[in-house]
Amino acid sequence: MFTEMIYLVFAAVLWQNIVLSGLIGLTPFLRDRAASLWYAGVVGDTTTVLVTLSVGVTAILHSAVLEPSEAAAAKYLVFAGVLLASGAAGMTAIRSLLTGKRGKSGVWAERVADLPLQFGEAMLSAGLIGAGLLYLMPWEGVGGAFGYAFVTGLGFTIVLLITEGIRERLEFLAPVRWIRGVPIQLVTLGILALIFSGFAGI
Amino acid sequence: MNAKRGDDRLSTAGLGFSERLPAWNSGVWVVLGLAPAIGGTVTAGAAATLAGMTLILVFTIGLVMIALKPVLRAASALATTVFLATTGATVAVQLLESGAPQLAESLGVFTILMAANVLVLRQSLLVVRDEPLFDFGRSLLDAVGFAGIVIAIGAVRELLSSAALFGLDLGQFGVDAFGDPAIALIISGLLFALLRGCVGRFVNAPMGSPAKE
Repeated sequence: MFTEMIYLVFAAVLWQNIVLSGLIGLTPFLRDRAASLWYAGVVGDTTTVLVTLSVGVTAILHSAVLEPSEAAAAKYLVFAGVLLASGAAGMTAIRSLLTGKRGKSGVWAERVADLPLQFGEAMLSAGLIGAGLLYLMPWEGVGGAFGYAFVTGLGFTIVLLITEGIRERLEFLAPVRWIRGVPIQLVTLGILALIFSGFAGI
Repeated sequence: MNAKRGDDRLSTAGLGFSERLPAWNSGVWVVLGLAPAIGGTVTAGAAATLAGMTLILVFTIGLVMIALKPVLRAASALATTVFLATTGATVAVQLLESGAPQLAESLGVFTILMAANVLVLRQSLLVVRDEPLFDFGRSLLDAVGFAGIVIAIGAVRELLSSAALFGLDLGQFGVDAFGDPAIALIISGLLFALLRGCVGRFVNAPMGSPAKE
């Protein structure tokens, strides 16, 4: 059981990565300019939390309510509702936390300003990833849903951090104008996908 | 809160992520909308089906949002669009699975991902801005542009992987490896570079300025 869980984590992060193997959740990677690693980290972490929560709750409702009442197709609507509610609540809570005692000035005030954009990207990514997971439903039981969603979000976050790090360096090197931004980002992702697919042979 | 045409910032409380989005840069929306569709471009036919279904979804949801504009608040525009898009995509999946099961299997998860396509979500702006019919027309043109790009990527992938176009065999020069998802990303990137080189700057700063530490 423990070995299977370790294998699952490695598979979700490496050779079955949702972004590089499934081409799902690409939207944050198609930004025309690099963002900081902090920005990418917040987007990735928020996506992981939102996906885990939304897919898990949807799986619970799917097995308890939707399947017995033969309304399994409504799982996407349920997922969308849970995702929007949790995203809005999360952003409000974090914003009020950061603008409380700490956040009137300095680095936290700047980071509060970026929150809507980060949450927007995270919710869109979580929507894409969660919809994909709910279509495939590769888990058994509700615990499996939470686990699958968490490791999938983890794989997404790792790829996002890697590509943002590469992108910062690419901007420094200033490739020719027509390949800057989205084109070089897509080519970088493709090369990363080829590299990650090599792990499948282990 | 309503924003006029020409504003380059939308200050709507309900559309959190679009607060700093350049509203009228069509290239932004097309590129961002492409993200969920790259995986569905295995063949030109599958890509055309996906693009056509997205166009129908954009059209239908746009009309519904214009009809709901008098009664809908800006804060609930995005949620309404999400629910309409999810319902529409679910219906599309059911219809495709019953009418064209092979195509449904080929498209796989990317049919339902139409609901999370940014082009569709952008229809929430029709409630917020002052000129919905103009915005609706622009969004349809963006969807047509999106369809063109998606079909182009699908056609190139199909040509390189199976030496066919829309199912018609054109020779024996296909290489199976070009059907790999990684190659799809590289092909998409090179096509974008080619477009940008030919027609000038195609995408202008999506998602606002990058965050600074």
